[in-house]
Amino acid sequence: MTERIPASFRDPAGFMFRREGVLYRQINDRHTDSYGELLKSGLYDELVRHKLLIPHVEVEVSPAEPDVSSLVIRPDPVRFISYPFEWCPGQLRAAAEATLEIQRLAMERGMSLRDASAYNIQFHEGRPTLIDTLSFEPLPAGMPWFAYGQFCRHFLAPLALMKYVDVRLGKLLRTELDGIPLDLAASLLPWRTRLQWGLGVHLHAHASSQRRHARSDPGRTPAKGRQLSRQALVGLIESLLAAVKKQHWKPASSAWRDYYALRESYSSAAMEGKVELVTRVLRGLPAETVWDLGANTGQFSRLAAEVTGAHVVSIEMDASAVELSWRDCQDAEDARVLPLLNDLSNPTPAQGWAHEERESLLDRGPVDVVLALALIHHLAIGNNVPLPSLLRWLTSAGKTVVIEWVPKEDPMVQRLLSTREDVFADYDMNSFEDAAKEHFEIRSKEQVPGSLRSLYVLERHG
Amino acid sequence: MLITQVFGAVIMYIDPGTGSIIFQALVGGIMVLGLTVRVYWRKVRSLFKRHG
Repeated sequence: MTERIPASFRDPAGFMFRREGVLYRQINDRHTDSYGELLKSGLYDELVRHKLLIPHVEVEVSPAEPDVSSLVIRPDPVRFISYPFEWCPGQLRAAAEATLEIQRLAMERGMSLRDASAYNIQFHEGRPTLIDTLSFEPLPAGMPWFAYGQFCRHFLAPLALMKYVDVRLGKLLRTELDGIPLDLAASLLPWRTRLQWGLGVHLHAHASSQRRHARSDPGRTPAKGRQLSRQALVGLIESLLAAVKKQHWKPASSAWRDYYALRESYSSAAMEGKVELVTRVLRGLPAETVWDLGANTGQFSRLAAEVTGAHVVSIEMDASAVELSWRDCQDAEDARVLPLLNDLSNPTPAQGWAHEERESLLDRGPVDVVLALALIHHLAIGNNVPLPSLLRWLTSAGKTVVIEWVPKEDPMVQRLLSTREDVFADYDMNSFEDAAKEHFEIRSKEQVPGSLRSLYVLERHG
Repeated sequence: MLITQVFGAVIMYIDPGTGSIIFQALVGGIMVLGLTVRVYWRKVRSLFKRHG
């Protein structure tokens, strides 16, 4: 059976399809010359060598639409597809720099990126990698970079908004699927950003130019005025790179304090006991894919990757924690952990055209093992999610769930309850176990050393 | 003349935006000018250094 992947329906150059569980990309006849040039120019080899482009092989597989194509490639599979609004500022910046570096190398070999969508970049083996092999076209003399506007919307605008206004504005990318409109970004940014060369030019002045020409007849503007020398194009890319590099977001100082306090607490006897327990439990669970829900700065995600060898998606709602986790992964060159921003009380929905273009968080699962440490009270008490509903949700996330039960007497729960009325009569261990048994078999239950908490291993029925 | 006619060989499936294309030519021009000034400035400086 052939299933067309709905995310790549726009591009006339080709599209992705799945057949018997394998992902392929059909290259339409109208694009074969550009694809040939990508290989012949040596650009493909160079980009793959720099780990900037997903490697692929040409395969003897019939195209999904043989009328328009006679060529199919099989790209290396990406472990987890993530979206720009799920990235911390550091991840978005890394993706932006990768895009510009790809464009720079392409221009050196007489080619150019046809688009600069942030969705074309995925974190593959820990690095931002272009997954759209069909993004390249030959660059005739004088041709401008058609993706310039898209690059500014997808990368520069959200990076500037997160740095100069509020990191939460990165979430605008969730509603603006083709990037944040530049006039909107310009109106939200503080006035002083006009004085910064990169933002002043590529966001503010760029937005004004878009406004000025919004109603002009494109046929009327002389084509000559749109031509760009190669030197000018190189200058443009370098200037964008300098602007992107300046959008260095720093996590709040309180986040740093928490981070160090947590690191310190890891050396305490209680934490050592918890680490030892989680390690032992994970050792008994074969896993290729893990989701660590409520991962904070990802200590247990890295532990899970180490113990099981699995690819771990480290899901956390706080941007500062994700940023610190991302930096740790980069420093350790840890390719097995992907830090990801997601609020589990409102996780990524299915979005875009026909709700099919971008998948919901759950659509990208289920995984072999779900890790839910110090999470249950945030959802059940912090967000009033009833325990049966929470456990039911977990069944669609993974087959095996390692979950920490945090009782009401725990200091962290007491802190949550200190500012509100305790309306959680059903929040107790018996109700938790009853709710769990509805969907899972309780495989083991152990006390977390030095605490009132318990660690459960749940196995989904069927 | 439409932009697609100028660069006919190219499959354009995203709208590059007239404002973005015109603006980019302007920015590119400034970049080249800046580069030229830098190159000449270096030449002038090296001239003085040699004599000084």
